[in-house]
Amino acid sequence: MMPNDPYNQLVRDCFSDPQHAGDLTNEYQITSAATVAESVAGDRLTVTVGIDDGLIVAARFRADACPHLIAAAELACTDLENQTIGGLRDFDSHKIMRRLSVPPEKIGKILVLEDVLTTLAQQIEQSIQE
Amino acid sequence: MTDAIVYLDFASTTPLAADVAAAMHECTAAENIYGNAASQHPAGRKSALVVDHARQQVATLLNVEPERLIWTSGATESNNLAIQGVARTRQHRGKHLITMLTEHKAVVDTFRALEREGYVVTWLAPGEGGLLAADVLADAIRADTQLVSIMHINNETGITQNIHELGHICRERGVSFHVDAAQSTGKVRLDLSDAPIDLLSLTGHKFYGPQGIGALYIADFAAVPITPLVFGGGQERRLRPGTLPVPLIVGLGRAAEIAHEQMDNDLRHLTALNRRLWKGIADVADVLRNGSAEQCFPGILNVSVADVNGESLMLGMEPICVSSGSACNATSGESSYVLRALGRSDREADGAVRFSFGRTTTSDDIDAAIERYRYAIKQMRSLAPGP
Repeated sequence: MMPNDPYNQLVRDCFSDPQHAGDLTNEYQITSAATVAESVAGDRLTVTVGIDDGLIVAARFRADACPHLIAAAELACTDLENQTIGGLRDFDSHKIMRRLSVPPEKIGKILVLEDVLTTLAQQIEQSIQE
Repeated sequence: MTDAIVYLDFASTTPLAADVAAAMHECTAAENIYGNAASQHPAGRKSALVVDHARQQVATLLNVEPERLIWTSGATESNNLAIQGVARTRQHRGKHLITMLTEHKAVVDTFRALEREGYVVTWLAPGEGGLLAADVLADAIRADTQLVSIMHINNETGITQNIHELGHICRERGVSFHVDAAQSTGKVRLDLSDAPIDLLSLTGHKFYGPQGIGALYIADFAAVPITPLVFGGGQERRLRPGTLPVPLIVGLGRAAEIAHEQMDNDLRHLTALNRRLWKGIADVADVLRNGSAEQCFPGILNVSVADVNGESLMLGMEPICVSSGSACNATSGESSYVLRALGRSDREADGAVRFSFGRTTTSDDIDAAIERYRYAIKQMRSLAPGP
C-alpha cells in the first residue's frame, strides 16, 4: 500500500474484478436473497445463495456501497461456496476485515454484511422448516 | 482506457511551474542566496533584495503596493491571521462575525473556534446559484459586527461570489471585509487598487507556485489592526514573525509574474476544457452540474449523481486524479457540507466529483476523464441491487 492509500491490494482486486457480482437463477433446491440498507450513508447490499442438499453451491452479491464493503461481499461469497448453511451463521467478519485492512471508521459498514448473512440464515432456516 | 495518471485536481494543488522551479533553483544554487532576510549584513541584504522583488511581483498581480502584503505559510494561515486577528483586536467593540456556510474548512473551523471562545457568528446560506445576495449580507450586519469573511471562488464548485458588491456593503457599514482568494489569485483578474476589500488571503501552490508559502493582503494596517497569532520576532511588521523562507518566496513571486502574463490565455484554455468535459458527460443519466457555467470559475467542474457511492466512484475513476464530494472515506462520515448548503441531498453530495484542471491539462486528459467517468458510473450502476 502506498502512504495514504486507504485500500490494500486485496480490496483493489476484489473491487475491480469481482467474480461473484450478480444474481442467481432458481436452478437450486433453495435460492434465497437478502438485502440490507444502511440508513446513514445509504449503502445497500444484497447477497443471494443457491443451496443444494444443504450445501451452498453458489453465492452472488450486488452492492451500492464503498469499496471495502464490496470487497468484503466478494470475499464472503467466495468463502461461503461449498459450505453448509451453518456457514452463514458462523461467518467471521473480523477475519475478512483483517484481510482487507479495514480502517476502524469503516468497521460499521462491514456490519451490513453480517446483517445480510444473518437475515439469509433466518430465511433459509424458516424455508427448510416450512 | 489509459493507465497513466491524469491529474485533474488543480483546485487541490497545482504542479510547480518549470519556470518557478528554475527561479527557486537559481536563488539557492546559482545565486547562492541563503542569508536571513532580516539580517543586516550583506548575505541578509541579498536575501532581502529578492524577497522585496517577489513582494513586488505579487503586488503587481493584485495591483497593490507591495508594503500591503505579508508572507505566511499559505491560505490557511492567512485566513486564521485575518479572522482571528481582527476578531481579537476588536473584541472590546463587539463579538459578532459573519461568514457563509460554504466557506473552506480553513475559514469554517476558525470561526467555529471563535464561537467556542464566545464570539457570535452568523452563518449565511447561499441563495440562487450558490451566490450570496447583497441584501442578505446587509440584513445580517449588526451594530456590533466586526468582520465579514467571504470566499471569492469556491474550492468545491467554482461558484464565484461578487466580492466587490459585498465589499461595498461592508464598507458602507464600517465593517472589515476579508476575502479568501486561495482559488482565485493568479487565476482571475484581481485588481485590489480600488476594491472595497480590507484583507485577502492567497497561497502559492494554487497557481503553480511552491507549497508552504502564501500571503495576506492588508489594505490599511492602521484601519484594520490585527493581533498576531504567533510571537517571536519582528518580521512582517510583527504580524507574522519567523525567518522568511526565501526560496519559497522567490517561487511565489515568479508564479505571480507568470500568472499575470498568462492569465487571459489560461482562462481561455480552461473555458474550452470545461466545455469539452461537460459536453462529454452531460448525457450521463441523472447527472447534475453543481453550479452553472455562468457563475463558476471555468477551472472547476463539479458534477453529481445520486445513485452511486461516491467513494467507489472515486476508486473506479483511478488513475484519474479528482476530488470527491464525500468525506465518507475519512472519519466524518458526512458528505460535502458545501453541496448540501446548495440544496443537494446527502446522496447527491456523496456522489459528487470535482474535476479541476489547469494550464498543463490537455484535451486528451479531458477525454480520458470523460471515458473513465462514464465507465465507472456504468460499472457502479451495474453492480447495484435493484430498487
